[in-house]
Amino acid sequence: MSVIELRGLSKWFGDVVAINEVSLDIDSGVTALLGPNGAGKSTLLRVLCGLTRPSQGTVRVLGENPRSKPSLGGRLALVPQQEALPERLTGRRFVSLMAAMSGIPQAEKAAVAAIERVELDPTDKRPLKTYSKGMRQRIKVAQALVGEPEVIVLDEPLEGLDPRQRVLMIDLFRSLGAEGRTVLVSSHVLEEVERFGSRVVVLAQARLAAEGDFREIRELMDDRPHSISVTTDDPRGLANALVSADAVSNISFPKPGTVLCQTENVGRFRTEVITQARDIGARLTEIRPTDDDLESVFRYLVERR
Amino acid sequence: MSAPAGTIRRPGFAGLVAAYRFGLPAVLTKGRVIGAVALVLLVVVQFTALSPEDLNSGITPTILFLKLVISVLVPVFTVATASNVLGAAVADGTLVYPWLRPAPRWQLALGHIGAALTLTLPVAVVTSGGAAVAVGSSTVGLDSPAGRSLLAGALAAGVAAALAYTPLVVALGARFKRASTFAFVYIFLWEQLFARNSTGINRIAIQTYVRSVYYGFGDEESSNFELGSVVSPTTAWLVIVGLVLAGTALTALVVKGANVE
Repeated sequence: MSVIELRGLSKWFGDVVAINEVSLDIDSGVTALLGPNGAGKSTLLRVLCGLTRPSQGTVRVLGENPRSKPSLGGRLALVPQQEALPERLTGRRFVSLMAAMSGIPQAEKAAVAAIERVELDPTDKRPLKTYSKGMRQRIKVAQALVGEPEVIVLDEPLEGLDPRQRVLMIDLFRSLGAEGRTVLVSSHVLEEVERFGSRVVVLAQARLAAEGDFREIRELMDDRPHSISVTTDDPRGLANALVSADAVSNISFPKPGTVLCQTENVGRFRTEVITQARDIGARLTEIRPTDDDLESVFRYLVERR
Repeated sequence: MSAPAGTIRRPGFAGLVAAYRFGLPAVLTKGRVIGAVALVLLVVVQFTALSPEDLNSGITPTILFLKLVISVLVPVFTVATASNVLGAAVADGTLVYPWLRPAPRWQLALGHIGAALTLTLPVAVVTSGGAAVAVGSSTVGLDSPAGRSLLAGALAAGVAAALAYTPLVVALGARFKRASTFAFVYIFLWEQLFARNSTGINRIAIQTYVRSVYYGFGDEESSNFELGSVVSPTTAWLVIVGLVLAGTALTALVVKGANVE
Protein backbone atom coordinates (compact mmCIF):
# COMPACT_ATOMS: atom_id res chain seq x y z
CA MET A 1 0.00 0.00 0.00
CA SER A 2 1.36 3.41 -0.98
CA VAL A 3 1.43 6.32 1.44
CA ILE A 4 -0.72 8.40 -0.91
CA GLU A 5 -3.19 6.74 -3.28
CA LEU A 6 -5.35 8.64 -5.73
CA ARG A 7 -7.80 6.66 -7.85
CA GLY A 8 -9.73 8.20 -10.73
CA LEU A 9 -9.68 11.53 -8.95
CA SER A 10 -11.62 14.38 -10.53
CA LYS A 11 -12.63 17.75 -9.22
CA TRP A 12 -14.73 20.27 -11.05
CA PHE A 13 -16.20 23.63 -10.19
CA GLY A 14 -19.32 24.13 -12.30
CA ASP A 15 -18.16 23.70 -15.87
CA VAL A 16 -14.49 24.07 -15.04
CA VAL A 17 -12.56 20.82 -14.65
CA ALA A 18 -9.69 21.38 -12.23
CA ILE A 19 -8.53 17.74 -12.02
CA ASN A 20 -9.42 15.10 -14.56
CA GLU A 21 -9.22 11.37 -13.75
CA VAL A 22 -5.89 11.39 -11.94
CA SER A 23 -4.65 8.08 -10.54
CA LEU A 24 -1.39 8.14 -8.68
CA ASP A 25 0.69 6.41 -6.01
CA ILE A 26 3.24 8.27 -3.93
CA ASP A 27 5.60 6.71 -1.41
CA SER A 28 8.05 8.05 1.15
CA GLY A 29 10.80 10.41 0.03
CA VAL A 30 10.54 13.64 -1.92
CA THR A 31 8.12 13.82 -4.84
CA ALA A 32 7.80 16.95 -6.94
CA LEU A 33 4.46 17.90 -8.42
CA LEU A 34 5.35 19.87 -11.53
CA GLY A 35 2.97 21.80 -13.73
CA PRO A 36 2.24 25.23 -15.15
CA ASN A 37 0.06 27.72 -13.30
CA GLY A 38 -3.57 26.68 -13.53
CA ALA A 39 -2.75 23.02 -14.14
CA GLY A 40 -4.68 21.94 -11.06
CA LYS A 41 -1.77 21.40 -8.66
CA SER A 42 -3.22 23.38 -5.76
CA THR A 43 -6.63 21.77 -6.18
CA LEU A 44 -5.03 18.34 -6.18
CA LEU A 45 -3.13 19.14 -2.99
CA ARG A 46 -6.25 20.55 -1.33
CA VAL A 47 -8.23 17.41 -2.15
CA LEU A 48 -5.33 15.30 -0.97
CA CYS A 49 -5.34 17.08 2.40
CA GLY A 50 -9.11 16.76 2.75
CA LEU A 51 -9.73 20.51 2.50
CA THR A 52 -12.32 19.91 -0.20
CA ARG A 53 -14.21 16.86 -1.41
CA PRO A 54 -13.34 15.24 -4.75
CA SER A 55 -16.16 15.36 -7.30
CA GLN A 56 -15.27 11.82 -8.28
CA GLY A 57 -12.74 9.17 -7.30
CA THR A 58 -11.02 8.34 -4.04
CA VAL A 59 -8.13 9.65 -1.96
CA ARG A 60 -6.29 7.61 0.62
CA VAL A 61 -3.44 8.97 2.68
CA LEU A 62 -1.84 6.47 5.06
CA GLY A 63 -4.81 4.25 4.25
CA GLU A 64 -7.42 6.75 5.39
CA ASN A 65 -9.75 9.33 3.90
CA PRO A 66 -8.30 12.73 4.86
CA ARG A 67 -11.67 14.47 4.45
CA SER A 68 -13.33 12.42 7.18
CA LYS A 69 -10.32 12.59 9.48
CA PRO A 70 -8.63 16.01 9.22
CA SER A 71 -4.83 15.84 9.33
CA LEU A 72 -5.16 12.11 10.07
CA GLY A 73 -4.51 12.69 13.74
CA GLY A 74 -1.54 14.97 13.11
CA ARG A 75 0.15 12.62 10.61
CA LEU A 76 -0.50 14.92 7.62
CA ALA A 77 0.52 18.59 7.32
CA LEU A 78 0.17 21.23 4.63
CA VAL A 79 2.06 24.37 3.69
CA PRO A 80 -0.64 26.21 1.75
CA GLN A 81 0.14 28.47 -1.19
CA GLN A 82 -1.95 31.36 0.08
CA GLU A 83 -0.15 34.22 1.77
CA ALA A 84 -2.68 34.83 4.52
CA LEU A 85 -1.50 34.24 8.06
CA PRO A 86 -2.97 35.20 11.42
CA GLU A 87 -1.31 38.58 11.11
CA ARG A 88 -1.51 39.76 14.72
CA LEU A 89 0.18 36.72 16.22
CA THR A 90 3.94 36.44 16.58
CA GLY A 91 5.62 33.62 14.66
CA ARG A 92 6.31 31.70 17.84
CA ARG A 93 2.77 32.10 19.17
CA PHE A 94 1.36 30.93 15.84
CA VAL A 95 3.51 27.81 15.70
CA SER A 96 3.02 26.97 19.40
CA LEU A 97 -0.79 27.25 19.04
CA MET A 98 -0.61 24.87 16.09
CA ALA A 99 1.52 22.52 18.20
CA ALA A 100 -1.04 22.66 21.03
CA MET A 101 -3.86 21.94 18.58
CA SER A 102 -1.83 18.96 17.38
CA GLY A 103 -1.74 17.53 20.88
CA ILE A 104 2.00 17.98 21.36
CA PRO A 105 2.69 17.99 25.12
CA GLN A 106 5.52 20.55 25.11
CA ALA A 107 4.11 22.88 22.50
CA GLU A 108 6.45 25.81 23.17
CA LYS A 109 9.57 23.66 22.98
CA ALA A 110 8.37 22.01 19.78
CA ALA A 111 7.57 25.43 18.28
CA VAL A 112 11.05 26.75 19.03
CA ALA A 113 12.65 23.68 17.42
CA ALA A 114 10.50 23.99 14.28
CA ILE A 115 11.18 27.73 13.95
CA GLU A 116 14.91 27.21 14.33
CA ARG A 117 14.83 24.48 11.71
CA VAL A 118 13.65 26.99 9.10
CA GLU A 119 16.31 29.46 10.30
CA LEU A 120 13.95 32.00 11.84
CA ASP A 121 14.43 33.58 15.25
CA PRO A 122 12.07 32.10 17.86
CA THR A 123 12.64 35.12 20.13
CA ASP A 124 11.34 37.52 17.46
CA LYS A 125 8.47 39.45 19.11
CA ARG A 126 7.16 41.07 15.93
CA PRO A 127 3.70 40.12 14.65
CA LEU A 128 3.45 38.13 11.42
CA LYS A 129 2.13 41.16 9.52
CA THR A 130 5.64 42.64 9.67
CA TYR A 131 7.30 39.53 8.16
CA SER A 132 8.82 39.61 4.68
CA LYS A 133 7.55 37.22 2.01
CA GLY A 134 10.46 34.86 2.61
CA MET A 135 9.90 34.85 6.38
CA ARG A 136 6.20 34.18 5.87
CA GLN A 137 7.00 31.18 3.67
CA ARG A 138 9.36 29.82 6.29
CA ILE A 139 6.95 30.25 9.20
CA LYS A 140 4.37 28.38 7.13
CA VAL A 141 6.86 25.54 6.76
CA ALA A 142 7.61 25.69 10.51
CA GLN A 143 3.92 25.30 11.44
CA ALA A 144 3.76 22.23 9.20
CA LEU A 145 6.89 20.67 10.72
CA VAL A 146 5.83 21.22 14.33
CA GLY A 147 3.67 18.14 14.53
CA GLU A 148 6.43 15.94 13.06
CA PRO A 149 3.97 14.63 10.47
CA GLU A 150 4.66 11.58 8.34
CA VAL A 151 3.27 13.25 5.23
CA ILE A 152 4.12 16.87 4.41
CA VAL A 153 2.44 18.59 1.47
CA LEU A 154 3.95 21.89 0.32
CA ASP A 155 2.25 24.09 -2.26
CA GLU A 156 4.81 26.26 -4.07
CA PRO A 157 6.95 26.67 -0.92
CA LEU A 158 9.90 28.26 -2.73
CA GLU A 159 7.94 31.25 -4.03
CA GLY A 160 9.29 34.50 -2.68
CA LEU A 161 12.47 33.00 -1.25
CA ASP A 162 15.89 34.39 -2.10
CA PRO A 163 18.50 31.99 -3.60
CA ARG A 164 20.11 31.22 -0.23
CA GLN A 165 16.76 30.46 1.37
CA ARG A 166 15.83 28.27 -1.60
CA VAL A 167 18.94 26.18 -1.07
CA LEU A 168 18.11 25.92 2.64
CA MET A 169 14.56 24.81 1.92
CA ILE A 170 15.53 22.30 -0.74
CA ASP A 171 18.07 20.78 1.68
CA LEU A 172 15.36 20.68 4.33
CA PHE A 173 12.94 18.85 2.02
CA ARG A 174 15.66 16.36 1.12
CA SER A 175 16.49 15.70 4.76
CA LEU A 176 12.79 15.23 5.59
CA GLY A 177 12.59 12.70 2.77
CA ALA A 178 15.74 10.99 4.02
CA GLU A 179 14.12 10.68 7.47
CA GLY A 180 11.47 8.49 5.87
CA ARG A 181 8.74 11.11 5.57
CA THR A 182 6.63 11.52 2.47
CA VAL A 183 7.23 15.00 1.10
CA LEU A 184 5.13 16.23 -1.81
CA VAL A 185 6.28 19.61 -3.16
CA SER A 186 4.54 21.48 -5.95
CA SER A 187 6.29 23.84 -8.32
CA HIS A 188 5.88 25.33 -11.76
CA VAL A 189 9.61 25.88 -12.19
CA LEU A 190 11.49 23.06 -13.90
CA GLU A 191 14.88 24.10 -12.56
CA GLU A 192 13.62 24.01 -8.97
CA VAL A 193 12.33 20.50 -9.40
CA GLU A 194 15.62 19.41 -10.94
CA ARG A 195 17.37 20.38 -7.71
CA PHE A 196 15.07 18.22 -5.60
CA GLY A 197 16.66 15.27 -7.41
CA SER A 198 13.46 13.42 -6.84
CA ARG A 199 10.58 11.59 -8.39
CA VAL A 200 8.45 13.88 -10.50
CA VAL A 201 4.73 13.92 -11.22
CA VAL A 202 3.75 16.24 -14.06
CA LEU A 203 0.25 17.70 -14.06
CA ALA A 204 -0.92 19.70 -17.06
CA GLN A 205 -4.35 20.77 -18.26
CA ALA A 206 -5.91 19.08 -15.20
CA ARG A 207 -4.50 15.70 -16.21
CA LEU A 208 -1.57 13.56 -15.19
CA ALA A 209 0.92 14.17 -18.02
CA ALA A 210 3.90 12.13 -16.89
CA GLU A 211 5.49 10.57 -13.85
CA GLY A 212 8.82 9.04 -13.02
CA ASP A 213 12.39 9.86 -12.10
CA PHE A 214 13.42 13.41 -12.94
CA ARG A 215 15.95 12.24 -15.58
CA GLU A 216 13.26 10.19 -17.37
CA ILE A 217 10.93 13.17 -17.42
CA ARG A 218 13.72 15.43 -18.63
CA GLU A 219 14.55 13.03 -21.49
CA LEU A 220 10.89 12.79 -22.37
CA MET A 221 10.76 16.53 -22.59
CA ASP A 222 13.92 16.73 -24.68
CA ASP A 223 12.92 13.92 -27.08
CA ARG A 224 9.83 15.68 -28.36
CA PRO A 225 9.85 17.41 -31.79
CA HIS A 226 11.27 20.88 -31.33
CA SER A 227 10.41 23.89 -33.43
CA ILE A 228 13.31 26.27 -34.11
CA SER A 229 13.22 29.52 -36.02
CA VAL A 230 16.36 30.46 -37.98
CA THR A 231 16.80 33.96 -39.43
CA THR A 232 19.28 34.15 -42.33
CA ASP A 233 20.04 36.06 -45.54
CA ASP A 234 19.64 32.82 -47.58
CA PRO A 235 16.64 30.91 -46.24
CA ARG A 236 16.07 28.74 -49.33
CA GLY A 237 19.72 27.72 -49.59
CA LEU A 238 19.97 26.90 -45.90
CA ALA A 239 16.71 24.91 -46.01
CA ASN A 240 18.01 22.79 -48.92
CA ALA A 241 21.27 22.15 -47.10
CA LEU A 242 19.51 21.11 -43.89
CA VAL A 243 17.14 18.76 -45.74
CA SER A 244 20.11 17.22 -47.59
CA ALA A 245 21.91 16.72 -44.29
CA ASP A 246 18.80 15.03 -42.85
CA ALA A 247 18.87 17.40 -39.87
CA VAL A 248 15.19 18.37 -39.99
CA SER A 249 11.88 16.53 -40.11
CA ASN A 250 9.87 19.41 -41.50
CA ILE A 251 10.58 22.88 -42.82
CA SER A 252 8.57 26.01 -43.68
CA PHE A 253 9.04 29.72 -44.44
CA PRO A 254 6.67 31.71 -42.18
CA LYS A 255 8.07 35.09 -43.28
CA PRO A 256 10.83 36.43 -45.54
CA GLY A 257 14.32 35.68 -44.22
CA THR A 258 13.10 33.07 -41.75
CA VAL A 259 13.21 29.28 -41.86
CA LEU A 260 11.06 27.39 -39.37
CA CYS A 261 12.59 23.98 -38.76
CA GLN A 262 11.24 20.97 -36.86
CA THR A 263 13.70 18.49 -35.41
CA GLU A 264 13.74 15.69 -32.88
CA ASN A 265 17.42 16.10 -32.12
CA VAL A 266 18.15 19.63 -31.03
CA GLY A 267 21.86 19.04 -30.39
CA ARG A 268 22.52 17.68 -33.88
CA PHE A 269 20.41 20.40 -35.47
CA ARG A 270 22.43 23.15 -33.79
CA THR A 271 25.70 21.63 -35.08
CA GLU A 272 24.32 21.10 -38.60
CA VAL A 273 22.78 24.53 -39.01
CA ILE A 274 26.11 26.21 -38.27
CA THR A 275 28.08 23.82 -40.49
CA GLN A 276 25.65 24.08 -43.41
CA ALA A 277 25.39 27.86 -43.18
CA ARG A 278 29.19 28.15 -43.26
CA ASP A 279 29.41 25.75 -46.23
CA ILE A 280 26.91 27.69 -48.39
CA GLY A 281 28.08 31.09 -47.16
CA ALA A 282 24.78 32.05 -45.49
CA ARG A 283 24.81 34.56 -42.67
CA LEU A 284 22.86 33.53 -39.55
CA THR A 285 21.18 36.34 -37.61
CA GLU A 286 19.17 34.40 -35.02
CA ILE A 287 18.46 30.82 -33.90
CA ARG A 288 15.50 30.74 -31.58
CA PRO A 289 13.40 27.86 -30.22
CA THR A 290 9.72 28.79 -30.58
CA ASP A 291 8.24 26.18 -28.24
CA ASP A 292 10.72 25.81 -25.43
CA ASP A 293 8.51 27.39 -22.82
CA LEU A 294 7.20 25.10 -20.12
CA GLU A 295 3.62 25.41 -21.38
CA SER A 296 4.61 23.84 -24.71
CA VAL A 297 6.47 21.06 -22.97
CA PHE A 298 3.48 20.26 -20.79
CA ARG A 299 1.13 20.45 -23.77
CA TYR A 300 3.30 17.97 -25.63
CA LEU A 301 3.34 15.59 -22.65
CA VAL A 302 -0.45 15.70 -22.35
CA GLU A 303 -0.96 15.11 -26.09
CA ARG A 304 1.38 12.14 -26.26
CA ARG A 305 -0.15 10.37 -23.23
CA MET B 1 13.49 15.92 14.64
CA SER B 2 12.96 12.21 14.89
CA ALA B 3 11.73 9.81 12.25
CA PRO B 4 7.99 9.44 11.75
CA ALA B 5 6.45 7.74 14.73
CA GLY B 6 3.08 6.90 13.21
CA THR B 7 1.24 7.89 16.36
CA ILE B 8 -2.14 9.60 16.26
CA ARG B 9 -2.44 12.55 18.64
CA ARG B 10 -5.54 13.86 20.38
CA PRO B 11 -5.19 17.29 21.92
CA GLY B 12 -6.95 17.56 25.25
CA PHE B 13 -7.92 20.76 27.02
CA ALA B 14 -4.83 22.47 25.56
CA GLY B 15 -6.43 22.21 22.11
CA LEU B 16 -9.48 24.12 23.31
CA VAL B 17 -7.33 26.83 24.90
CA ALA B 18 -5.25 27.08 21.72
CA ALA B 19 -8.39 27.46 19.58
CA TYR B 20 -9.56 30.24 21.91
CA ARG B 21 -6.21 32.04 21.70
CA PHE B 22 -6.13 31.61 17.92
CA GLY B 23 -9.58 33.23 17.58
CA LEU B 24 -9.05 36.02 20.09
CA PRO B 25 -7.03 38.44 17.89
CA ALA B 26 -9.90 38.49 15.37
CA VAL B 27 -12.21 39.69 18.15
CA LEU B 28 -10.07 42.14 20.04
CA THR B 29 -9.33 44.48 17.18
CA LYS B 30 -8.86 48.18 17.76
CA GLY B 31 -12.09 48.90 15.86
CA ARG B 32 -14.20 46.54 17.95
CA VAL B 33 -12.82 47.75 21.26
CA ILE B 34 -13.55 51.32 20.19
CA GLY B 35 -17.03 50.16 19.13
CA ALA B 36 -17.60 48.59 22.54
CA VAL B 37 -16.55 51.75 24.35
CA ALA B 38 -18.71 53.83 22.00
CA LEU B 39 -21.70 51.62 22.74
CA VAL B 40 -21.32 52.08 26.48
CA LEU B 41 -20.96 55.83 25.96
CA LEU B 42 -24.02 55.83 23.74
CA VAL B 43 -26.07 54.34 26.55
CA VAL B 44 -24.93 57.12 28.88
CA VAL B 45 -25.61 59.83 26.28
CA GLN B 46 -29.00 58.40 25.40
CA PHE B 47 -30.02 58.37 29.03
CA THR B 48 -28.84 61.89 29.71
CA ALA B 49 -30.80 63.00 26.63
CA LEU B 50 -34.01 62.04 28.40
CA SER B 51 -35.53 65.17 29.90
CA PRO B 52 -36.33 65.41 33.63
CA GLU B 53 -40.01 65.58 32.66
CA ASP B 54 -39.66 62.25 30.86
CA LEU B 55 -38.02 60.68 33.85
CA ASN B 56 -40.63 61.98 36.25
CA SER B 57 -43.58 61.30 34.03
CA GLY B 58 -43.60 57.60 34.67
CA ILE B 59 -42.28 54.38 33.29
CA THR B 60 -42.76 54.69 29.54
CA PRO B 61 -39.74 56.66 28.31
CA THR B 62 -37.29 54.91 30.58
CA ILE B 63 -38.59 51.45 29.86
CA LEU B 64 -38.30 52.18 26.17
CA PHE B 65 -34.69 53.07 26.79
CA LEU B 66 -34.01 49.81 28.65
CA LYS B 67 -35.81 47.87 25.95
CA LEU B 68 -33.66 49.53 23.29
CA VAL B 69 -30.48 48.46 25.07
CA ILE B 70 -31.47 44.84 25.75
CA SER B 71 -33.43 44.18 22.56
CA VAL B 72 -31.44 46.08 19.97
CA LEU B 73 -28.06 47.47 21.00
CA VAL B 74 -26.73 44.32 22.69
CA PRO B 75 -27.82 41.97 19.86
CA VAL B 76 -26.49 44.33 17.19
CA PHE B 77 -23.09 44.60 18.86
CA THR B 78 -23.01 40.83 19.34
CA VAL B 79 -23.72 40.27 15.65
CA ALA B 80 -21.10 42.80 14.54
CA THR B 81 -18.49 41.07 16.71
CA ALA B 82 -19.31 37.38 16.59
CA SER B 83 -20.00 37.08 12.86
CA ASN B 84 -16.37 37.85 12.14
CA VAL B 85 -14.64 35.44 14.52
CA LEU B 86 -14.66 32.42 12.23
CA GLY B 87 -16.03 34.35 9.25
CA ALA B 88 -12.78 36.28 8.84
CA ALA B 89 -10.71 33.09 9.07
CA VAL B 90 -12.89 31.47 6.40
CA ALA B 91 -12.69 34.56 4.17
CA ASP B 92 -8.92 35.06 4.34
CA GLY B 93 -8.07 31.37 4.33
CA THR B 94 -6.37 31.22 7.73
CA LEU B 95 -8.93 28.65 8.86
CA VAL B 96 -6.74 26.12 7.03
CA TYR B 97 -4.22 26.19 9.89
CA PRO B 98 -6.46 25.12 12.79
CA TRP B 99 -8.60 23.03 10.45
CA LEU B 100 -5.65 20.80 9.55
CA ARG B 101 -5.00 19.86 13.14
CA PRO B 102 -6.30 16.83 14.99
CA ALA B 103 -8.22 19.03 17.45
CA PRO B 104 -11.89 17.95 17.46
CA ARG B 105 -14.17 20.30 15.53
CA TRP B 106 -16.18 21.06 18.67
CA GLN B 107 -12.98 22.41 20.26
CA LEU B 108 -12.42 24.74 17.33
CA ALA B 109 -16.06 25.85 17.52
CA LEU B 110 -16.13 26.34 21.28
CA GLY B 111 -12.72 28.05 21.30
CA HIS B 112 -13.87 30.62 18.75
CA ILE B 113 -17.23 31.11 20.47
CA GLY B 114 -15.35 31.68 23.72
CA ALA B 115 -13.16 34.24 21.97
CA ALA B 116 -16.25 36.10 20.75
CA LEU B 117 -17.81 35.99 24.22
CA THR B 118 -14.66 37.61 25.63
CA LEU B 119 -15.97 40.85 24.15
CA THR B 120 -19.70 40.34 23.67
CA LEU B 121 -20.41 39.16 27.22
CA PRO B 122 -18.85 42.06 29.15
CA VAL B 123 -20.27 44.61 26.72
CA ALA B 124 -23.76 43.10 27.05
CA VAL B 125 -23.53 43.04 30.84
CA VAL B 126 -22.09 46.56 31.16
CA THR B 127 -24.58 48.18 28.78
CA SER B 128 -27.63 46.35 30.17
CA GLY B 129 -26.52 46.95 33.74
CA GLY B 130 -25.67 50.57 32.98
CA ALA B 131 -29.09 51.13 31.45
CA ALA B 132 -30.79 49.54 34.45
CA VAL B 133 -28.82 51.74 36.85
CA ALA B 134 -29.84 54.81 34.86
CA VAL B 135 -33.50 53.82 34.71
CA GLY B 136 -33.71 52.58 38.30
CA SER B 137 -32.02 55.54 39.88
CA SER B 138 -34.38 57.94 38.16
CA THR B 139 -37.57 56.04 38.94
CA VAL B 140 -37.92 53.47 41.71
CA GLY B 141 -34.49 54.06 43.25
CA LEU B 142 -31.71 51.51 43.26
CA ASP B 143 -31.97 50.91 47.01
CA SER B 144 -35.51 49.65 46.78
CA PRO B 145 -36.35 45.97 46.17
CA ALA B 146 -37.78 46.98 42.81
CA GLY B 147 -34.57 48.78 41.86
CA ARG B 148 -32.44 45.80 42.89
CA SER B 149 -34.69 43.46 40.89
CA LEU B 150 -34.45 45.77 37.92
CA LEU B 151 -30.65 45.73 38.03
CA ALA B 152 -30.39 41.98 38.59
CA GLY B 153 -32.87 41.33 35.79
CA ALA B 154 -31.03 43.58 33.37
CA LEU B 155 -27.65 41.98 34.18
CA ALA B 156 -29.11 38.51 33.74
CA ALA B 157 -30.76 39.56 30.49
CA GLY B 158 -27.41 40.89 29.25
CA VAL B 159 -25.73 37.56 30.03
CA ALA B 160 -28.62 35.68 28.42
CA ALA B 161 -28.52 37.81 25.28
CA ALA B 162 -24.76 37.40 24.81
CA LEU B 163 -24.92 33.64 25.44
CA ALA B 164 -27.93 33.10 23.19
CA TYR B 165 -26.87 35.16 20.18
CA THR B 166 -23.08 34.64 20.11
CA PRO B 167 -22.79 30.91 19.22
CA LEU B 168 -25.48 31.13 16.55
CA VAL B 169 -23.92 34.21 14.98
CA VAL B 170 -20.45 32.60 15.02
CA ALA B 171 -21.94 29.64 13.09
CA LEU B 172 -23.72 31.99 10.70
CA GLY B 173 -20.48 33.91 10.12
CA ALA B 174 -18.57 30.73 9.35
CA ARG B 175 -21.18 29.65 6.81
CA PHE B 176 -22.27 32.83 5.02
CA LYS B 177 -20.35 35.81 3.71
CA ARG B 178 -23.33 38.06 4.43
CA ALA B 179 -23.92 36.69 7.89
CA SER B 180 -24.21 40.15 9.48
CA THR B 181 -26.90 41.20 7.00
CA PHE B 182 -28.91 38.05 7.64
CA ALA B 183 -28.58 38.50 11.39
CA PHE B 184 -29.63 42.16 11.24
CA VAL B 185 -32.64 41.27 9.12
CA TYR B 186 -33.54 38.68 11.72
CA ILE B 187 -33.20 41.15 14.61
CA PHE B 188 -34.95 44.13 13.04
CA LEU B 189 -37.58 42.43 10.93
CA TRP B 190 -38.34 39.17 12.65
CA GLU B 191 -37.77 40.00 16.29
CA GLN B 192 -38.74 43.66 16.35
CA LEU B 193 -41.48 43.73 13.75
CA PHE B 194 -43.18 40.34 13.42
CA ALA B 195 -42.46 38.27 16.51
CA ARG B 196 -42.70 40.89 19.22
CA ASN B 197 -46.44 41.25 19.33
CA SER B 198 -47.51 37.91 17.94
CA THR B 199 -48.33 35.15 20.37
CA GLY B 200 -46.98 31.90 19.09
CA ILE B 201 -44.54 33.37 16.60
CA ASN B 202 -42.69 35.05 19.43
CA ARG B 203 -41.72 31.60 20.70
CA ILE B 204 -39.26 31.36 17.84
CA ALA B 205 -37.52 34.62 18.69
CA ILE B 206 -34.43 34.69 20.92
CA GLN B 207 -35.55 38.03 22.33
CA THR B 208 -38.60 36.40 23.91
CA TYR B 209 -36.39 34.27 26.16
CA VAL B 210 -34.01 37.11 26.96
CA ARG B 211 -36.95 39.24 28.11
CA SER B 212 -38.34 36.33 30.08
CA VAL B 213 -35.04 36.02 31.93
CA TYR B 214 -35.32 39.70 32.80
CA TYR B 215 -38.89 39.28 33.95
CA GLY B 216 -37.94 36.42 36.25
CA PHE B 217 -36.28 38.93 38.57
CA GLY B 218 -39.31 41.18 38.84
CA ASP B 219 -41.49 41.71 41.86
CA GLU B 220 -44.87 43.38 41.98
CA GLU B 221 -43.51 46.88 41.53
CA SER B 222 -40.79 46.14 39.02
CA SER B 223 -43.21 44.17 36.88
CA ASN B 224 -44.03 47.60 35.54
CA PHE B 225 -40.73 47.27 33.72
CA GLU B 226 -41.91 44.12 32.02
CA LEU B 227 -40.51 43.86 28.51
CA GLY B 228 -42.97 41.33 27.22
CA SER B 229 -42.42 37.97 28.89
CA VAL B 230 -43.86 34.83 27.44
CA VAL B 231 -42.34 31.86 29.18
CA SER B 232 -41.22 31.14 32.71
CA PRO B 233 -37.66 32.12 33.64
CA THR B 234 -36.70 28.46 34.06
CA THR B 235 -37.93 27.65 30.59
CA ALA B 236 -36.16 30.72 29.25
CA TRP B 237 -32.82 29.65 30.76
CA LEU B 238 -33.29 26.11 29.49
CA VAL B 239 -33.93 27.44 26.00
CA ILE B 240 -30.87 29.68 26.22
CA VAL B 241 -28.66 26.79 27.33
CA GLY B 242 -30.14 24.83 24.44
CA LEU B 243 -29.29 27.68 22.05
CA VAL B 244 -25.68 27.69 23.32
CA LEU B 245 -25.38 23.95 22.73
CA ALA B 246 -27.14 24.15 19.37
CA GLY B 247 -24.96 27.09 18.30
CA THR B 248 -21.79 25.25 19.28
CA ALA B 249 -22.89 22.06 17.51
CA LEU B 250 -23.89 24.05 14.43
CA THR B 251 -20.55 25.88 14.37
CA ALA B 252 -18.71 22.55 14.70
CA LEU B 253 -20.75 21.12 11.82
CA VAL B 254 -20.09 24.16 9.63
CA VAL B 255 -16.35 23.97 10.36
CA LYS B 256 -16.31 20.25 9.68
CA GLY B 257 -18.08 20.58 6.35
CA ALA B 258 -16.32 23.76 5.24
CA ASN B 259 -14.51 23.89 1.92
CA VAL B 260 -11.35 25.41 3.31
CA GLU B 261 -9.72 27.78 0.84
